[in-house]
Amino acid sequence: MNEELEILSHSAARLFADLVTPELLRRVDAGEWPHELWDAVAAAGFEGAEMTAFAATVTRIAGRFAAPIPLPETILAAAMLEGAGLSVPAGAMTIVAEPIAIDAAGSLSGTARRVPWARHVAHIAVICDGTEGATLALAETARCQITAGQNLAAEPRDDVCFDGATAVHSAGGVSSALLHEQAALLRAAQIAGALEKILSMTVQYAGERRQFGRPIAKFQAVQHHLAVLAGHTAAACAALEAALASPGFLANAAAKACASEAAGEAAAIAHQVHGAIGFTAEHALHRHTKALWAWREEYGNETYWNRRLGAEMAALGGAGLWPKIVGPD
Amino acid sequence: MPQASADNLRFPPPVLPEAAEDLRAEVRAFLADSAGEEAWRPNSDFGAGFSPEFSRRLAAKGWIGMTWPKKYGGAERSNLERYTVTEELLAAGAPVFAHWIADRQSGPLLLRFGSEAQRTAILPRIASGECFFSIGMSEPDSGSDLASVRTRAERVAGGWRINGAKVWTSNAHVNHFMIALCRTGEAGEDRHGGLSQFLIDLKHDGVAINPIVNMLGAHEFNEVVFDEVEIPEDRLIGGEGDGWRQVTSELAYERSGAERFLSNFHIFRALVDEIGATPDAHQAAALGRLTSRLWTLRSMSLSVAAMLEAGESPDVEAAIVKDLGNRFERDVVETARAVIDVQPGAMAGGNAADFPSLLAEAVLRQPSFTLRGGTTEIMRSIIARGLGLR
Ligand SMILES: Cc1cc2nc3c(=O)[nH]c(=O)nc-3n(C[C@H](O)[C@H](O)[C@H](O)COP(=O)(O)OP(=O)(O)OC[C@H]3O[C@@H](n4cnc5c(N)ncnc54)[C@H](O)[C@@H]3O)c2cc1C
Repeated sequence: MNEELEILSHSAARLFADLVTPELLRRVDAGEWPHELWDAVAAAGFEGAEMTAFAATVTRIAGRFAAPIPLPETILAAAMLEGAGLSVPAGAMTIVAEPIAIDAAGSLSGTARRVPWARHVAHIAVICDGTEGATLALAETARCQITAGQNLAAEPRDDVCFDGATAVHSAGGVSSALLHEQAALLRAAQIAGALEKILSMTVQYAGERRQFGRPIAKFQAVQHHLAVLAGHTAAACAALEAALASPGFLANAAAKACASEAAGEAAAIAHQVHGAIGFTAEHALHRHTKALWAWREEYGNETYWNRRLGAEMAALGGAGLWPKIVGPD
Repeated sequence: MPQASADNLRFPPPVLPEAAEDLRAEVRAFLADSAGEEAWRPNSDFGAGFSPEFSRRLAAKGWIGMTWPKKYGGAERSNLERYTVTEELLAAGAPVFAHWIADRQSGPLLLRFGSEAQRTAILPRIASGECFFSIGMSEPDSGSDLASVRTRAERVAGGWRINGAKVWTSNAHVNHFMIALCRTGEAGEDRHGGLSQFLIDLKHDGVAINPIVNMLGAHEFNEVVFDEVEIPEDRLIGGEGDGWRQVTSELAYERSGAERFLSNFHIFRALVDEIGATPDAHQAAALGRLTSRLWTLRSMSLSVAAMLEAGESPDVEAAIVKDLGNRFERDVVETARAVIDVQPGAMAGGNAADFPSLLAEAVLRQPSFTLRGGTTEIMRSIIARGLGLR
């Protein structure tokens, strides 16, 4: 990580540590929008990050704190809008990557499922299937019908019915596949952050909890669980960093596949080491493990990405496999 | 207690220097030529391909000892360039094992701790592909607990007298030298004292090399017995009593390389061909899972190579790569047998390069991956220490 990113991740960590408090989380669980957190993130300029290592870094730190805001969604929406030559509105946004129908008059029709945070945002960047191919529309949620849903971590994942809504839209220049890939990469970044969090929580707990007259961290079986957890965490973080350093389909797919696979293994170990206390509503562990179990499925789980990757490798054939792994993507 | 944090588990992806990419093209061209001259049998384990002839041709290209100073026969190239050469050789399943140990760890050990006389006598011979090394660590009663070795070296007039036995010594029957870890004094409270390393000529009088046939029926490792072996003073490597520190640094080279996840890459490659261009959904997911893990492992391992280049000692990082890499190697084999309907074993009228034969060998080699170079359990204990748990 270069120095600039180092400074960024420290200031992001400070911001989230200060603001993502148990009290704030209680209010969010009760359905409130965390104004003060979003305003602070916007004031820091995190949501305006370009889709680069900067975006992945703040997203990873947000993941470490399970920050209850549509940060990656807003970053992606802004990047897509800018790329399509549309003006970027202020405030939190979300995205719809599965194309929605649009007619020549700019009227949308269809329903998008499980749209992150839709009920709390004013704008949605929507990939549309128009007569001239894919375009990007900026829809206002006020003109849509929103039905509340949620993911395992109780984050809003709402159905949005666009029927009859009109929207400004671009003349092409967007790709549903690319948005999906980038959304997957940022979920991988959130997962990487959450893995770092549960690793440090679990190591710390193992050092504090005593059984048989000593900290459970002294039992080799527990040490080896934690070593495996560390391995999964390291691999997910490394895959993410590799994808940022050499972007491309292989890298993005590998990053999400590794992160999604690590999420399940790691959550299981974290719970095992925490014992019954980790199974309580009161303990913070489940906030992070639920996020892992939710995020690993979103924008393609490991099976989805591995299948696509595998199909590509099979098409290349054995002789093409190694050059693909080491070559420019 | 130091806290586990993102910081001690980081694997920043290095950028390969342009020279490394040029080198990669050169290695590929060399391999393409060699495959024509000497069609080597595809490896189900890099450790199975022993060809002094191939090693000498690599040496002629300057690819053995390539990071060492020129005055010792090296080429003064970077660790990342060496990494590029080794990964290309492994991926091609080339028969590299003859010079591998000398190039990877014995040479670097001598370079770091050896005397000037040892360096000038030995390193140029390694670099020219004429001199191969064995690792003399394990003993019948000392495996994971390496510090408990009992082979003794006693001072005698003009040198040392060695008694004891090493075991599982790969290729001692065909190699020239062993670097043996021996007891020269009291272990002391931390159990790490009183150990020293010696350069032992495997053809020396009193050195008996007894074959041990492995479960594939192959003679690859040996028992090496020292019976009153007297060696000159100058065969001590580094300081008397410094053996533990030296052997630990040797292990960092032993554990961090690409052979910890690429040693049976050939099976993965063959599996892709076996499945063909139109995999079913299950096969595609299985191939993709291996691909995404391989991509990630390579990035981590390259990162460790860059840390070594920068003079750091990434022991914990190397242990993570070895643990994940060895699991990957096992999964390559387990995936291959699970996703296609194949009976491992020689087919009537087939040959050794047929997939069923390759797979048979791969299944049988699996157990060794998580043992050699330090077991999975030992790797995890090293990682746990890195997390501050021990
Ligand atoms: C193919 C092959 C080639 C080899 N070549 C060489 C060579 O050239 N030179 C050389 O010196 N050695 C060589 N070895 C030996 C190798 O280094 C040892 O096998 C390895 O260090 C383990 O020692 P061991 O086999 O005695 O097993 P042991 O140490 O007896 O271990 C048996 C089991 O107990 C576990 N165990 C032991 N201690 C602990 C602990 N503290 N905590 C938890 N679990 C533990 C181990 O993980 C393992 O599962 C080779 C081995 C193989 C398989």
